[in-house]
Amino acid sequence: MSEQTRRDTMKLAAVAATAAAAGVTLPETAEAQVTRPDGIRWDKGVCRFCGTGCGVLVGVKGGKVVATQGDPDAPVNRGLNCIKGYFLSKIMYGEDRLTRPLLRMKNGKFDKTGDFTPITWSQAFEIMAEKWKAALKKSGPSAVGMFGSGQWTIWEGYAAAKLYKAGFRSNNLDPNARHCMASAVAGFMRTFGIDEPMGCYDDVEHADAFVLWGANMAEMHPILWSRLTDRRLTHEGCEVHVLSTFEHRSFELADNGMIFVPQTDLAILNYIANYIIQNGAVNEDFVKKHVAFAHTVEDIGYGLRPTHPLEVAAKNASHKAGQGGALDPAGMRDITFDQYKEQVAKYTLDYTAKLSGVEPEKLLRMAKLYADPKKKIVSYWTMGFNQHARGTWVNNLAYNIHLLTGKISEPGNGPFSLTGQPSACGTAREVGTFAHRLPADLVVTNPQHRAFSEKIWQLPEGTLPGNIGYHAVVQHRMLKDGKLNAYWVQCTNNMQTAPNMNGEGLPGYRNPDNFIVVSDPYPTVTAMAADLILPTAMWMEKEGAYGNAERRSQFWRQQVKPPGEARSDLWQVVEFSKYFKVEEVWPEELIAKKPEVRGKTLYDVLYANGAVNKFPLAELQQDFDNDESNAFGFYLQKGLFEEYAAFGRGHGHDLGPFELYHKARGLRWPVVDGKETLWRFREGYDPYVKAGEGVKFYGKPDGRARIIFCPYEPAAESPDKDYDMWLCTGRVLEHWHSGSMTRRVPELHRSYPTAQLFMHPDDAQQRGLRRGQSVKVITRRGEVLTRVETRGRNKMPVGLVFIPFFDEAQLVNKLTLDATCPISKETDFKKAACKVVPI
Amino acid sequence: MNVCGVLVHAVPARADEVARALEDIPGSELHGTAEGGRLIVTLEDTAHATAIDGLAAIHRLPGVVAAALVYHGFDPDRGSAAPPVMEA
Repeated sequence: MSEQTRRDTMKLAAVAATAAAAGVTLPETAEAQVTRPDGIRWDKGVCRFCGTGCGVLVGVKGGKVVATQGDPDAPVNRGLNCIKGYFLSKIMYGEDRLTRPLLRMKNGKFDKTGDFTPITWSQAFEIMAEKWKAALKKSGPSAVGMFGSGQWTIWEGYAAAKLYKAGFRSNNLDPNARHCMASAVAGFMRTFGIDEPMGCYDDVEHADAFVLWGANMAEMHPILWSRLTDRRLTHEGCEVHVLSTFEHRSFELADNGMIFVPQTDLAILNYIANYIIQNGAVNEDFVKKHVAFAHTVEDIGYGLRPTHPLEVAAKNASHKAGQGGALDPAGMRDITFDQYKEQVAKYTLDYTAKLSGVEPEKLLRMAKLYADPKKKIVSYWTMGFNQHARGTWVNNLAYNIHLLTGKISEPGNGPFSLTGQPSACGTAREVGTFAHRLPADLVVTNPQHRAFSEKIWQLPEGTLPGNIGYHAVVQHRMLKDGKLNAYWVQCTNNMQTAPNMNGEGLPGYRNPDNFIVVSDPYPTVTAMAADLILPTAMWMEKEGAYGNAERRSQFWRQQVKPPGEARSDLWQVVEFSKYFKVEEVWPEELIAKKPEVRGKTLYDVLYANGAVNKFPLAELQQDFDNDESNAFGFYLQKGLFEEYAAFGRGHGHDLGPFELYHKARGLRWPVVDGKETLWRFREGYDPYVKAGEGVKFYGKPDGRARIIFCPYEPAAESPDKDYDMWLCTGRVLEHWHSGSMTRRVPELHRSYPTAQLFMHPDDAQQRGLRRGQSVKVITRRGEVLTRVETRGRNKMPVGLVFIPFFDEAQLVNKLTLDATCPISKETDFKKAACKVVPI
Repeated sequence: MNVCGVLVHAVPARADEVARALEDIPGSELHGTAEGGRLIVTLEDTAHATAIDGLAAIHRLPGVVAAALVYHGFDPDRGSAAPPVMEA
């Protein structure tokens, strides 16, 4: 076929798909809709990037993915794709794909200062096992750890959690979702007692108004944004309010755009609650039946090292809890409605407008909108809320407003926490890959939860440790301090994305006491900082499952083979378990409780346990590869999924049977009797709410959600005379997170090749800087060279600069502070103090 | 070689104006329109610009509210180099 013919055929397919997405049929495409060009095999898949969870059709020819298309049958995106989704087929074919394990070696032996040298998989696992066993012998389970991902497939996260929590008996497992969604999780657990949004994307088509709190949906969730745009333009009276610390692309659609001083969102949310109360807009019937009031513990510090002056000064800092009258920072006490009313009373319009810098009439307009009983409202947020030193509080405060007005858990009304990763919900959260969690919202600190998990996993009583493991930021501190010595990173580029890189991360990885393993498809900054690199199969090179932000679990089949010796994270975890005898990792008294495990490997105990290996190869997806299952001799993904699903079925987290997901375009849990749930906690939608109950927040034992008063408290670091500007970091449309995939798509790389520092023209002028000039951004922790941008998509207010973090030549996390929300342990990447100087 | 299908959302009253402006974007072709300001457009690489440049140009057109990619086909034999990688 000539190039021109091939191009024409592709164009016809492009027109057909686009017309279908627009809901029309064009004469020229009538035929193309039936016959597919060029012998391409098409199958359903899920996008590799953000938490929206768009369905994509994946076209394979000659063993390669050659085309992708927005899936017209996918309810999430209805045939549309964003710019990153459009280049999906190219993310697997970067020229520097890793195809062999690489170990730092000198003179034929491992040497921390050596050069990366190709070795075999068995050599890789042998040196890993040696290092893990040495660490376990020296200091016990606290010396081994793992950092995983909200981009792991569901079974990858589950297999890893099992290996660490049950096999190595260490809770030092945390996902990169800690940097992304942890505040949302803590917010849900405190207010509702059960994780994840009650509503779903269908809310978009029912709402009268949208409020974006710290979410630039136009760039970060473009497909949801297109649905929202459609609603705004076609539904009379629909309005969009956007709040941010700088003006971004979502402001183009805003009817009420508000720029606030960083951290003052806490005050704005309390002001709205105060307005609702003062103007008699409380939904008293709803509040009386379904809500209880609480007051959070205050003065809780900033999650820094205990020696930091801010932690020393904070009355209820995390490390002081329970000592000398200090309270648990996550704690709260019951109060009455009147006491709550008194607490929010100080957040008047006048006070809040002065503190936040937002024009009073704009605040008032938004408050009136929330208070209007006739307006259905969805509030959206992402990293502006979650990456916040009071991230848990700010999530709670948003729920307060929706609970006071009863605008929740029904079509068009609800608070909705968006996610940044494809399976932050499905894997990181639901599977329980956090340092404090077990599957289906269970926690390691609860003895009953541990006993329940041990039963499902067929483990002797007392196997699972009850202490909370090292979370993301503490992992880097413990690596640096030499307390965490054998460490495995999968499916994330945490050297580039974790805060305070030069202060904690890099010295931790390069500490001679530690052995660092990184699994990745590409030589990322993190991989290059490791001692052993394992080449990973990605996306369509394996059978997978993701869970998106609206509780939708979606599966795909393996479409193509990975290059060279690359193997999936799942295969790596399960294969590694074969290198440990139970006696090498469990103490004698534990083995004595189940003597039949003696002499077995962790593989036998965790995966070949009669449950995970229950399903034969005959059940594999016909006509598709499944490299992992063929390697181990049973349908591994199905066995892991079904064992995992036992945790949630009958407990409000029900997943459907495995095969159902290979047929459906995803299903939103709880899935009961094969039926998904669109709105939780509401009778008629949620099978867990009984007839006559109306609304029931069943995550709490008393069936009541909590309205939690949380005050405004200042940021960990604010501008001063030495560092006179706010520094904020985040993403851009063209690149996803650290750019490890999107920067390898030539078109995306060219369209946004390097990061820039967005700055207000007056700030530039005052410092004698011109647009495009090279500058140094300096904080108390490091400096980065970049160029000034005073125009472009992001318009800064005076006093604040923004720099995206995708560019590995401008490592923004040398600048950031490792302050976290003391409750969720999530880093505040949005607030540090910096200065900008010419070079 | 990239070929893509793009669904453009214009402010309904300005759909004609957007349609005319598309003619000046290299590699773009309008195939039809639908209610509510929707335009069915393809973009191809040209000698001087890639399809993605065309997409950026569409985004910048006055009257365009959103432009969503629906289809992408490419010739896998014609990939180009990955960006250089820096060692930490």
